[in-house]
Amino acid sequence: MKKSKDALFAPLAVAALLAAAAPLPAQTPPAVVTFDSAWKIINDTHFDTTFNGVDWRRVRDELRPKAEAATTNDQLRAVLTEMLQRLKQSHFSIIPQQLAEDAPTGGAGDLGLDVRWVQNAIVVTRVDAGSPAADAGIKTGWIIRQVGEHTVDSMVARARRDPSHRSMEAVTASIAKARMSGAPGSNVELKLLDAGNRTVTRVLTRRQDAGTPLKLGNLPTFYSRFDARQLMHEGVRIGLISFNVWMTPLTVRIDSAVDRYRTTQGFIIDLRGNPGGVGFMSTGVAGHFVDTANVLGTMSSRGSRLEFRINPRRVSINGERVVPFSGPVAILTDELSGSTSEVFAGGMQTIGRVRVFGSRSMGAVLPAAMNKLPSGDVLYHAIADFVLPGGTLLEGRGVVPDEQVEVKRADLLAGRDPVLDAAQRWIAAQARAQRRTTTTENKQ
Amino acid sequence: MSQIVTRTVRLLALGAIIAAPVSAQQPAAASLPSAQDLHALYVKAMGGADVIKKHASMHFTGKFEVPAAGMSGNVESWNSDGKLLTVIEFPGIGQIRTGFDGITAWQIHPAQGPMLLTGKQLDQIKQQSDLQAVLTPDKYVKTRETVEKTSFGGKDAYKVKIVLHNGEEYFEFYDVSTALNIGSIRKTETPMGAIDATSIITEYKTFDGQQVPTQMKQSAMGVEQVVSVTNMMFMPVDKATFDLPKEIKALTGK
Repeated sequence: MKKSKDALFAPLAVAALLAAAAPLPAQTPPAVVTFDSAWKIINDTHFDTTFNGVDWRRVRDELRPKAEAATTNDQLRAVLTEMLQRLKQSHFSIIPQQLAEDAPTGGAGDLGLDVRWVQNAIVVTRVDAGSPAADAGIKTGWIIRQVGEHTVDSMVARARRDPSHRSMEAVTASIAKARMSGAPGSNVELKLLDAGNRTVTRVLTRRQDAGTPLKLGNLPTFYSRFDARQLMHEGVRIGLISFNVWMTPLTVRIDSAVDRYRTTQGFIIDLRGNPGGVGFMSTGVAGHFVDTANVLGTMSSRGSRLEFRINPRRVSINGERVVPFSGPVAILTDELSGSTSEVFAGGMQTIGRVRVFGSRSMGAVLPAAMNKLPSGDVLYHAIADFVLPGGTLLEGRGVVPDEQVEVKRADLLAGRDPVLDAAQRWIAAQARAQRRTTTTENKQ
Repeated sequence: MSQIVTRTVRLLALGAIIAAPVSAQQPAAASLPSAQDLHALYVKAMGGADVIKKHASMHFTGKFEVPAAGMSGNVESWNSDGKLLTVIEFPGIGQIRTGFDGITAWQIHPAQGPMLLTGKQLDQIKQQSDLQAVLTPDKYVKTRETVEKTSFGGKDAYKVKIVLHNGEEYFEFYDVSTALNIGSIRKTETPMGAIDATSIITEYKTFDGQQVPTQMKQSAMGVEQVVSVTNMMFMPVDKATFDLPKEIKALTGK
């Protein structure tokens, strides 16, 4: 699993696993033409003219013979991927043509569960009601030992070979998620440990992904999930908004949710597992919670510099004048929160507007563009870096939560979400403090 | 009139250039035509001042593409009496609306929400909204100078340095053989800041006697965008077209 494949969009990780070893079609240009094209695009557009300290010409000279020898698309993609990995940066990957041009043929099915690396194991962290996982009786807190023929140990071994800066834990979770994805209607056997640590085997039939399909240009189809609801914690009303990808069709739902819960005493934005998306969307969402001119950070490419300027949202979705929400806001992150999620969380944290809960984010924050290659595949490549106000580079570092919360298997088995709980406690405390201040002022 | 197409490109996040009119205030370098002469030839090549004067309003439809990203959308624009409305619809992104009612410049972007455009953005959209700007160059341009004969977009071209009254400097290029404006290199203002952009006009067509750019490629931050005009009409535009949307009225308090 290459870091770059799931740096911005998780489905790109699936794409790598689905890449067929088909021979190069006769009408496509020689593999070396595609190789040269990809090398030149990066040579001409990489934001760092030192190529992150890599001798880019030497990389070409070394790998070009391998490209010349490639006789299948899979072999060519392997050479291109090796070239991209030399940069040791996120947002460099190859999107297979079939995923760029068509609806996905293999990765659109899921089991209705999510996993993370918890206490040295791949553990179920979410089970959707009515999903294949739920129907099979799988519960949060169960440990996954094997997906099909792939043991978790083999996934860990593969993750340890990953050349990126991402943690073994995060990469292993990504691999496990990708292994569980597949064609809707196809079966996969899971070997698990249940709550009593008994080994159980379940054969599940993948469902059509329950998310809403969204397609943006040559990027693979994304299946968006969105949830907004009101929580009540110690008598304090809190608006919770969670979404799994930053794609603009979701903005209407986010805007509506902010309007709906504008009168609550706090907001929680849950970005756990959200790998990113359309970068500038972060400035519009941030504006719901910021009423002054400010920036989330700056991206710099060769010759240009753009600020992620927050757009204070002083009008509701119904066209009524409003004031951006000024109460406490918590953002939840984990090791699979990437890219735009990190721009949003890191930027809002840096300007002091939010408190971040959870675990350190992915550290994959490089604005990227796409170019179609002569082979028909798409080169996804970073064109700029991104720094927070004050100059901190998020790439390779990630967002460090203000309150790091460890998730334990016992929590999941008990149906608890300690990260969400911590955020709720903080907002409730803020609300109580605000009430005390208001009471004192009224007495005076 | 090249601003008709270039304006549309600028309206997107990656911005572009606008072809500001040139005026004669600086002597040209030796052996080069003066910028004033180039401007006169440009106006003539477009169809002449009389033709331009009678075209006080227009409407066009077209395509907006980012070929490398596999993205393609529709664009529609209305322009009259110094007012402007442009609507771009991109699958996967949504509708981007940008307007100027003669006083207030605004944009409603699906990723960023409704916003007022101020400062240099307002300056640029005012200029772009002026269909007759090419006939009144001194209104915007402080100085300009033909700096060299060069190659631009695969054509021999005269490069003209423009300095606007607000201090902005950029370059325009005029085809040696046709005198038409074939592009520019300019920092363009966007809601996220200024972007270096190179714009190349690759096609002109005649509409009601006037030469209008119908295809333009723009490169900014390593990304190429293409705007193509598919239908263009110089026609009266309903004034209500330029009314501020309710979201913008709420922002302005009007």
